[in-house]
Amino acid sequence: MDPITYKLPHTPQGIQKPGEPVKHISSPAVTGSSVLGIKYKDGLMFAADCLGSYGSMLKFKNQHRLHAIGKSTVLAFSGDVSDFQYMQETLDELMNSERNWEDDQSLGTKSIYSYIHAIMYQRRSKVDPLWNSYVVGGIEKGKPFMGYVDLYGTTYEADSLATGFGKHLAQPLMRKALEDKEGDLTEEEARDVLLRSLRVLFYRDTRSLNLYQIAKVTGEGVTISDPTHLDSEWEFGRNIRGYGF
Amino acid sequence: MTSVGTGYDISSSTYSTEGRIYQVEYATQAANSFGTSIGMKVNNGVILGSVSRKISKLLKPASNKCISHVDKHIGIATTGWTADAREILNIARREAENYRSSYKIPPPTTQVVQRLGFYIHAHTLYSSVRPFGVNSIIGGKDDNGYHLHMIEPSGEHWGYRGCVVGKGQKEVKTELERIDLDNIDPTLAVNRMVKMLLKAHRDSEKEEPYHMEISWVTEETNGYHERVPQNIIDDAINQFENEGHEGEGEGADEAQETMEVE
Repeated sequence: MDPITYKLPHTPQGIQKPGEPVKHISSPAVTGSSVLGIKYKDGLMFAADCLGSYGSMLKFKNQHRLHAIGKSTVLAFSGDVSDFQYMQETLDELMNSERNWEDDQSLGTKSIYSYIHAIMYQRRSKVDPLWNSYVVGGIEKGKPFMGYVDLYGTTYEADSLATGFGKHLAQPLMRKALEDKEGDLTEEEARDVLLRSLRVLFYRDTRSLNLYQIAKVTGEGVTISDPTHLDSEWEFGRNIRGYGF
Repeated sequence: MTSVGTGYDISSSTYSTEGRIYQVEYATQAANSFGTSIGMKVNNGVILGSVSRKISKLLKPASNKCISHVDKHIGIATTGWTADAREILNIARREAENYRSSYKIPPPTTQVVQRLGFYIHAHTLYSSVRPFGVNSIIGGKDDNGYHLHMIEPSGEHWGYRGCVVGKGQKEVKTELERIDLDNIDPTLAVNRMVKMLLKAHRDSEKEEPYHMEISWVTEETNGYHERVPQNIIDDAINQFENEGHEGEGEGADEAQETMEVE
């Protein structure tokens, strides 16, 4: 191996030799952090910041991580950006070939979720996983649906979902909000709890950014907001002593 | 035909002594003996239309479509053998999909047409295959605007502002040439097209029930290939009937009834 070449952590070391076990890239390159999703009265709401990190470097600060699939489904991802792009192209091709039938039907949220799970489980079974966690949600036949899939092919459904650090920091806040209102949040309340969660994540997760997007799925369809600035408060830092200050 | 008996019309891999390829000519004849298809490239849009005799009253509505999506923004209208047309459609979709996965952009219409033309032409080179008995009119939108092309059974393809194939070819062509295609709006053009198709049908098939399909790619469809709303087509049909066409009367109602466009 060329001693001058610096090997990045995600590049496979050396060349595959015949007879050797197959090697795959086993760590992500550009990554997105937590995404959040919650059900509310009129449908579902999703939130994610707009950061694509390269290791610990905040490299891409305009990374959209909430995407519409078809007319009433949102796909939110965390993890490797290029693996997500592959997934998006695969789904686009699928939706396109479904449109070609012209049978007045289109894939619903549950079908899209199931398809994503199939791909994720197949890839992990090849020991070459797509390095993502997904929150897939939408309205199908008038009913809201939201599910989680990750790189192991794990799936679960819930009224509030989060990936990554958000599982630990945001999920308790969202569950509390749902419990307090017995699962019947207004749009304002849903937005409020998502923004509070994003703020907590911005304070405590080093791979996060104070620029976010909110996506909504209602009976009307999907709307995804433009990247918006998230306000935060750092004044308390002045009074903190120790930690090298 | 002069060459009958000379053996030159058996294979498309051999020219006749006059330099013709009879198998390709027969395929063209076959393709032109079905319905009529029209393509119009107009101001801010491209429109495809097709009419054919309804084969049977027992046919399920919307079966045997002759207009289809190739990609989001490209449509195809075919006349000729329906099974051959299916094959052509599948190849067109495959090429469009391949282009997408290679270059990560929507395929330009001309690219799909060229690849499809190549495939159809390849079927005129060998004695082991039969040329396609299909004329395809392809319309679409890309960064360079709207496009309209027609591929013949020989694999030859040209870009058009207006084109027509099938039984009513001659009459429709004269009428197309009279329309100011560059300035006519899509909705008005659909109106004209429905009337031309109806007239072409009446001229060759009299009062036989028909099957008509119209689709377009316009600003209003956001550059997507979509079917034209039924009410626009119905308006044109009603106008056509009221304008006092020679075929009005008993047959007109029946034809209306058997219309089957989604």
